[in-house]
Amino acid sequence: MVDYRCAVETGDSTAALAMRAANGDHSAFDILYRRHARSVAVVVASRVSGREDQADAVQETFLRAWKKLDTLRDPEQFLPWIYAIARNMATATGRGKTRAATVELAAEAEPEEATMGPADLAELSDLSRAAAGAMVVLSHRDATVITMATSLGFGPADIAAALGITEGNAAVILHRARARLRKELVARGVIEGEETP
Amino acid sequence: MSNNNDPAERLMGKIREFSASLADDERALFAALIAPGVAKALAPEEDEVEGYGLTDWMPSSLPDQLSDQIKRSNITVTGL
Repeated sequence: MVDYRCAVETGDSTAALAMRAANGDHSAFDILYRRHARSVAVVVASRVSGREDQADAVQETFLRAWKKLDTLRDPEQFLPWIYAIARNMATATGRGKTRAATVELAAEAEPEEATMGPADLAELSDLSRAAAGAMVVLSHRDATVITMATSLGFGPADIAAALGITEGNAAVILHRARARLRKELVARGVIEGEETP
Repeated sequence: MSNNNDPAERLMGKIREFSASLADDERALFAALIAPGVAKALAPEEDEVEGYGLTDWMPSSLPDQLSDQIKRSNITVTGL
């Protein structure tokens, strides 16, 4: 497992890491992520409310940055560049959120649409194992829910009882985690699948 | 990374086996018993920007985070 603190405290400058990442070095990009995810989160938070949505926007920002690194002409400008991506991503998330608000409220009222059966949980655990070493920025609640499922084998009903949330909410969080992990692994080339643009 | 020689990782496996052996109502109670520890292990850094607490979640990282948290917490038992 990558040690977070050791990774962050490498002497490499952000520009040097950005250059290595642009040449396909995943580990360099992981360090950039760990070093700057929080500042990106602050940029995102100025435009997106709700920790889950903020975490989604941060994750999307870094995924897009990874795919577009070849367009970064000056590695010294990595931070302004990724902050610009974050602002655009957050703005787009905010607009989409407004349009989707009614749909999401309906989904909250119908938790049976987000069930997580044993096969779904097994897939989530498999994806989690495959993604060992990767890092995902999550709200504290989501991280707790996902860990309860993937590391300890609890299902949505157990998690709901333990954390005081509805079973539907727990299932939605696990659903979203599965989609996010799958997307992350596809982007990294660990598993096959379609990448979203 | 999974490591069968790691006691924390072995413990996670045993907890999974144990919880799978429980009845539904027992498993929900067991989840409630250990959820505070999991949440504590995953708590954002204390110097987090207020209101924007996000957790760096690494799949399969609970054993390390749990043992780190226990070591840092200086846990004591009092009042016995």
